[in-house]
Amino acid sequence: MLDFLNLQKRLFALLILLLCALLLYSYNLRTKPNTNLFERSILLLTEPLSRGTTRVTNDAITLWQDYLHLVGVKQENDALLLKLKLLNHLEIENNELSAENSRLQKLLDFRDSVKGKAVPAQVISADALNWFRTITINKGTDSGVQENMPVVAASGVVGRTIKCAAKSSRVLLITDASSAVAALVQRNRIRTVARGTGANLSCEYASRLEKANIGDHIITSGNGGVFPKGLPLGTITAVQTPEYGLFQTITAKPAVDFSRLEEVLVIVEKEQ
Amino acid sequence: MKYWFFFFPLSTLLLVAQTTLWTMLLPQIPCPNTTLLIVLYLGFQAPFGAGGVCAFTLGCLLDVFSGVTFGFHAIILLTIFMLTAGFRRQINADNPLVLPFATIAGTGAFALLSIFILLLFSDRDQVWPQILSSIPMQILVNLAAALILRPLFTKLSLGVGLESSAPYKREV
Repeated sequence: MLDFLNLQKRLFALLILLLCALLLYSYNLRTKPNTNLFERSILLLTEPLSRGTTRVTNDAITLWQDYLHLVGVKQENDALLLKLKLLNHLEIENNELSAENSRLQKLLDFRDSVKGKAVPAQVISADALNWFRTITINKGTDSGVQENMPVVAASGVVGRTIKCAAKSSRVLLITDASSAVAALVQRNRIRTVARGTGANLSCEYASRLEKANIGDHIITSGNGGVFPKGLPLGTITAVQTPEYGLFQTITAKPAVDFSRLEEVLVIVEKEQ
Repeated sequence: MKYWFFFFPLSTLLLVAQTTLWTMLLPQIPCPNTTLLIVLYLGFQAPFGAGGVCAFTLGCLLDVFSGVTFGFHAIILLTIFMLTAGFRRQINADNPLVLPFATIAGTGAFALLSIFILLLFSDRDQVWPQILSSIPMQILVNLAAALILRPLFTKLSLGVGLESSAPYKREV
């Protein structure tokens, strides 16, 4: 028996490691969202790298758009292109500034309308895999951000924080399959739970007694304990009422365009 | 330990690149699962114990950059490592078909294990159609990444003095 154990000791060690992994996952699944030392350290160490890479990539894209595609034209008319390049550069820079100004203005207006204290943040990276919908923002516990805080954009709800390090946080988007937000159909106040389906929202447990219509807005109900009441979640794109059953099935398009998300607000203190 | 000190920082760099560069430059194409590719490589090359510890910690690392619950990817990647390392005695890793086959099988196993664990432990019952529908594209992207990264892994591992512990190579 001992010989057999000695022979297979590496396999046993790995099986014990697998058991540890299962216990670790099971433990983390049953406890409320928290960020452990390992996660904090990795997020802290990689945050400057992520921020730097994002910045360099942005600069490179701008450089490419501003200059490199004009190289062919430059050969035809150097002098004119020089002027054009400068004007182009200025125009793009102005457009970029104008767009940023507009986005920040919207965010500022929205911040004023949010009841409570909000911290502005920038999106620095997306999820490493395609099956989850999370993003990383450049604000963390140093700015007062904690786990389970609502994250919003000017057009509506983005998600909630799930992991927080000193200078960065991971945000679970409302479109992730593990996200569920207590919601209301704004027009007729039907209560529902908006769950993520990857790209859209599926509104479950919506009573069929009152009909929801395509185009109706879905807002947060404030009942879940995370999001304040009245924030836009999305717009209904499909309603199915089965012949039998208590509920109607509602599909909604999120109010926020997550592919273009750059700035967000983290509501760190909700008004009581 | 040598494997860990080499592959942990390498995986961190690849993860930072795929969460920042990839999503900005190629937003329409799903990003490759580089951590899975490293674990598959370790499954064929690394000793059982060191590779297992490496796969477990790489899973924990992936949990920092992806997903919701810490420990989820650690289970998956450790299981995939054990399966790969278990099969390597029966396979000639020099065969050019091994790499595409391992990548396809590994990507499929990763997806199925994800669905199984999510359905078994958590309440993400809506995630499986999303995962299943993305498998073909994910396989293609992972295959392309494997073809590019495998020579790089081999070159870099030899460069830092990591020797293959694959049985057919030891026998030779």
